[in-house]
Amino acid sequence: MDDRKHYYFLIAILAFLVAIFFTFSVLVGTTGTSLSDILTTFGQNDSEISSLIIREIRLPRAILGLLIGATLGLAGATLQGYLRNPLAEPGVIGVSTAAALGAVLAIYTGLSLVVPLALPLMAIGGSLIAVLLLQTLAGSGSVLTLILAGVAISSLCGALTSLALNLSDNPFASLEIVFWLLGSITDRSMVHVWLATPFILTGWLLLIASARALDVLSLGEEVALSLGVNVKQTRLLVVSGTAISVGACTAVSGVIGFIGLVVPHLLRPLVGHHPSRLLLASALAGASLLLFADILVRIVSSSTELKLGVVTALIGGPFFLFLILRLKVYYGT
Amino acid sequence: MRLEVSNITVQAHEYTIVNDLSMMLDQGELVGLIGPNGAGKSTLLKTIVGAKKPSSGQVMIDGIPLERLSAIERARKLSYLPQERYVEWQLPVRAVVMLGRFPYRQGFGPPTPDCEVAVDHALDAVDATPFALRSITSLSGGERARVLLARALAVEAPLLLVDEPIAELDPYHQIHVMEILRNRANEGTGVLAVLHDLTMAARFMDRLILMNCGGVVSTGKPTEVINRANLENVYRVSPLNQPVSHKALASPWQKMGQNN
Repeated sequence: MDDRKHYYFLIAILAFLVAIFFTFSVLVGTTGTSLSDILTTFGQNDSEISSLIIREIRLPRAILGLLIGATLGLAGATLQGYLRNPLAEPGVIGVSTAAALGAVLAIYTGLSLVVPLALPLMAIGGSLIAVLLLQTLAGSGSVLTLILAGVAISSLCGALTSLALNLSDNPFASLEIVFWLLGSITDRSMVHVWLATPFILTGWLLLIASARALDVLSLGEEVALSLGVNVKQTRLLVVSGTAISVGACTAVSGVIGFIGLVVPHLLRPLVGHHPSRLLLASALAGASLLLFADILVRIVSSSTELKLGVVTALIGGPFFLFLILRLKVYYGT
Repeated sequence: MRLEVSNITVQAHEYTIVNDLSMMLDQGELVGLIGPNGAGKSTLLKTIVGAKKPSSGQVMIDGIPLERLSAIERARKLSYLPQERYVEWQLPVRAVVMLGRFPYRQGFGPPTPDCEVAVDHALDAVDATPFALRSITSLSGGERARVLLARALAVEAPLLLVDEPIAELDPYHQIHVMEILRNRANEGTGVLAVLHDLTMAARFMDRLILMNCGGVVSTGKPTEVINRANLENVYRVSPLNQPVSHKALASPWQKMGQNN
């Protein structure tokens, strides 16, 4: 069919963009590197400075950019489809703030100084606790109950994070917490990649497994149920998939907002408004956007590096306003 | 295929919505479920499709309790059109109708020729082919209602439950939809339709079930159910005996271009 061809074409373009930005992400930085440097890096295990930079600094950063961007796009698209709300994003169910709280506690207690991996591990722990809470509070309730539970968890974790900042008598720890909360993928190593990848991929699988149900859910839960969709199982897939993958991302990068909101919204008309088709497209576009923002961070800032989360929020905030304005026009109020 | 509801009771909070109700629907039968607002008609339909859990009683298809069927098996046997005509996202009309084929599709591949044919038939039946490529949000309420009926028809299930299928339609399409349901029943589908238009119910249905306060008051041929006593006691209205002077009265009866 014709619209299928459109869809495959879009996917091909987005995949191409991801490849381009990924390559640039490995090339761009304060130390100049060329394509041939990359090729020699993967050709042999030499210890030249440029290939060392690529292997130890740029590559983990590019891989994390790709994984995190894709996760935020995918989770955003899934949540918007499941909640049937174009304003939903991974943060709405409170997972990011819960993961952030875990990480903040690791910094606050000084645990992250003793065991560096404590930070990402505690962040993942935080998001898993959030899922359990969500399932207990809203496992069988309505979509509204789920959103309310998410808001409650989110504000509680936000308050506890503020409390940690408030009580912290070590100014360095406070500064570290604040910087970490801004969100960044600078100075991450392959250890971070290996740590986050299994969780991220597991989350992806769960989210993708919910895709077909999302289409039918556009007709409401009762129709979906009458057509053979297991609505409860779909909710479990969406909530745990988001928590595990977004939690793992937050664990290595801090809070990066707005990608999960903006990307699905931009792409929805391009995939014919099919919730299931939006997933892959949003994942690819999310990866492109995050890699692009991360390249921008490197090019624009000179003395003080801009944080990635700040840049995505600067792009996302105005877009959010624009979205509200347009919805207002649409509903005529 | 036979749908059997035995001694169903459904509660919402402390209220009893459906009270110890039993009924039956056979293949090829066109049955109207009528009764005043709040009688429990929609709740009964929701319970039959499994969207509401009864506190007691059982729903069976061919003697097999519903909960013993897998979700897909049940979906292939029972098609349901709820009263709320809800669609999120600006999906194309054809894609909405194709969702009715969900129980027959696996994975993300293109729809099978069978599915395409079923969708074409359903779109054609409700006169929706001319706007099959438009987005559903661009349609009027009546057009949207017909598309959602086509979605329920596209399942091609042997049992079809529709909640107020003609509520938002113009007179032409009211008659048209009643004819579609009649045809489906003639082809062997068991159809249960919640209706408020008693004239339509009396004219097209094989059998009527009159509900009030969660129970069945009367069941049988339309002439047996729609009588003065039931109208006065259950609906609290009195029927018209003779024309009322100075009041326009229109009773659309058949579509133009039909000569029966």
